[in-house]
Amino acid sequence: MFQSISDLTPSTESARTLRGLHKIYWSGDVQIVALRNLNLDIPYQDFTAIIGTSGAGKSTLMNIIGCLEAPSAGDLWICGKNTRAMSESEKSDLRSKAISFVFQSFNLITVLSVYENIELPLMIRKDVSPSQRKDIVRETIQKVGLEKFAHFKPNKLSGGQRQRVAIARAIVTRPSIVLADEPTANLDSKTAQQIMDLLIEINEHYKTTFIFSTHDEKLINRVRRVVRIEDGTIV
Amino acid sequence: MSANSVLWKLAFRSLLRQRRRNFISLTMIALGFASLILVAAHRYRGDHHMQTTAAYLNRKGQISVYKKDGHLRHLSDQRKYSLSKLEQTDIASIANQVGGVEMVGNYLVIPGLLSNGCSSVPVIITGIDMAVETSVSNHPRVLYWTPDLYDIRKGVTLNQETSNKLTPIMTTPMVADQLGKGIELNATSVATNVPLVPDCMNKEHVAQLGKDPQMQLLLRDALGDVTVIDVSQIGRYRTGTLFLDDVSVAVPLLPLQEGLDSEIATYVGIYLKDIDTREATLSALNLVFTQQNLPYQALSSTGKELNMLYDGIMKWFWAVEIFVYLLLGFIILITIFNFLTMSILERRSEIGTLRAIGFKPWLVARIFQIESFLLSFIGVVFGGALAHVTMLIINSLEIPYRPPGVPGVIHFILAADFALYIERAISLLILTTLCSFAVTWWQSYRGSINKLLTST
Repeated sequence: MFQSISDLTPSTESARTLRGLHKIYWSGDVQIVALRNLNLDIPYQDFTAIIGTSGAGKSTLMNIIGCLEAPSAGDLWICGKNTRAMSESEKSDLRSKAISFVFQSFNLITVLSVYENIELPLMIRKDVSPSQRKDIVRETIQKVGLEKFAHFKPNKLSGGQRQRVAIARAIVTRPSIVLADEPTANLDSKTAQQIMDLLIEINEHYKTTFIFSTHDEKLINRVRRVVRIEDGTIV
Repeated sequence: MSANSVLWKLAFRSLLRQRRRNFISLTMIALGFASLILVAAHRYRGDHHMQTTAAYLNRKGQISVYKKDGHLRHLSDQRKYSLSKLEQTDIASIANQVGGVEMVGNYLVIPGLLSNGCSSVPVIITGIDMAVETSVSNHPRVLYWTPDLYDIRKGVTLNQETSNKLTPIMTTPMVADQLGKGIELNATSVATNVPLVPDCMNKEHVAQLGKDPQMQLLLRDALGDVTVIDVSQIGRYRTGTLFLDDVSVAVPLLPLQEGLDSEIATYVGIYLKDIDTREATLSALNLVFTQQNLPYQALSSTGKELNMLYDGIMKWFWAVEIFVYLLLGFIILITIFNFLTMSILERRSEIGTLRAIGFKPWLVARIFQIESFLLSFIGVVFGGALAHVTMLIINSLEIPYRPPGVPGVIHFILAADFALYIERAISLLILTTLCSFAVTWWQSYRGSINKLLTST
């Protein structure tokens, strides 16, 4: 479906368009509404922060934008394509080529080295040759400043370094959008600022759309756009 | 290629992560596989032992060619169901044309009485083709598969007898015992003053008779006339088959035919170079017999028609082996199921991460399938080595063993060829791979990626 990054060249005004999104969870017989009638446009190359209190629906929104979860109702368009009609395989292709994630708890593969973790998303890409892969991974490692740690296992790294690996893994496919769910939550404030600097730099360098969720008010003055969410709706 | 290499890398390193638990699973698989091999090795040895017994010790060859229905009726109607000299030559010629034949021997089987001068016992006399006897009785397969039965032979064999004084005869120990001839057969033990007309109530006379190798063989020819041949016991042999051992004696074919004033044979024994060609040669021979409208019938020496014992025992062996295979296979499958379920449950977050970065469910499933394959493969390699060492130890202990249908005690020996290891290994690996496909297919589609990611 998405053969290369060039396929994702903006052809519409938004990288993501969300219309009338609802997400309902069931806990036994109890219905929990996580998102209600949510509409949102995310422009290309944007750097957006989604903020809100715990349980406001930030993570649910991020998951739906990243096709990790399906909405209960409403539509999500990615580069003009409605995800409702996509098969699981097409969504996997989308995650492999156009969407990347940075998780709060890093989610690195512990049995792989830093280099191998970063290389991992490219290993399942048939359109990237081994030599191209090598070049891209080297460049990405340099970008996040982990050249000296390339052959370290994640458990030998600090929290900030692990998050850099996670960011490198997210951008190595040169995706159109990176979704970072509370990427600084497990880091001290100094390291958090460094990670923010890195994300901003990548946004500017690769023109990647960044959406990150946070409840840290100190970080929001560094982004271009803030989406505040409360009780499942944008306020 | 890239995806495959990373899948193997992930699988291999993940296996090393839970070493203690995986070692237990590995041990279970190795022990299970070793047990499978040992049970199969017991059957394999039994199979070859009985095949060798039938072909060489019973002088049937791998294939026996009779007059049609002769295998059933030759004892009751010798004239009708015997093969003439011309027919024997004809069969040998056809067998050699079919190919794969090592040697061909003619054998005459007739009932008779063996007497020591005081008492007689009914026997089945086999006239042995001396042209091939040396090759048959000392065949490498005899020495390898039935060493116990070869070693207990005493005296000399028919082909070693050169004195030509009297017709030499070999008896089984049971026949010799019945005639009081249970003596060591060598020159010094032979009696020199045997009474010409013994008093069978006199213990001294009976003792002297026991040391005398001379006996009388009474046989009836095709016309019903009784012939007596003076024979000299030169040695003992084993047929390797319990119900044959108490009635069998062997003499050279020629003096037996001379005694009957005939050149007939009961069957032609065909010895093959490669025993695996038995069925093909058998079919080819019967096809020629049918096409040329010849009144012959080729039978396998291990077939139901000639050897019910082999047929019955092998069925029992297979039943035991299949039962053990199912039992151990089930235990190994449970081990793999448990290993995979635990691995998948423990690594749900990792699965979620892989799915989030674009791995398709089947690609994630393949990691676990490879892990299962690796675990099974290593288990099979270790199990095979364990089985081999166990076999070496058991065989070196020379454990006495009295298997059903075999006269006397033989050594408990286990044997397996490389193909047996490979066949069992492949079947086990297929079984565990199918199990891993079922488990991972079922597991990899369960739950949303978000739930997987947030699993602890």
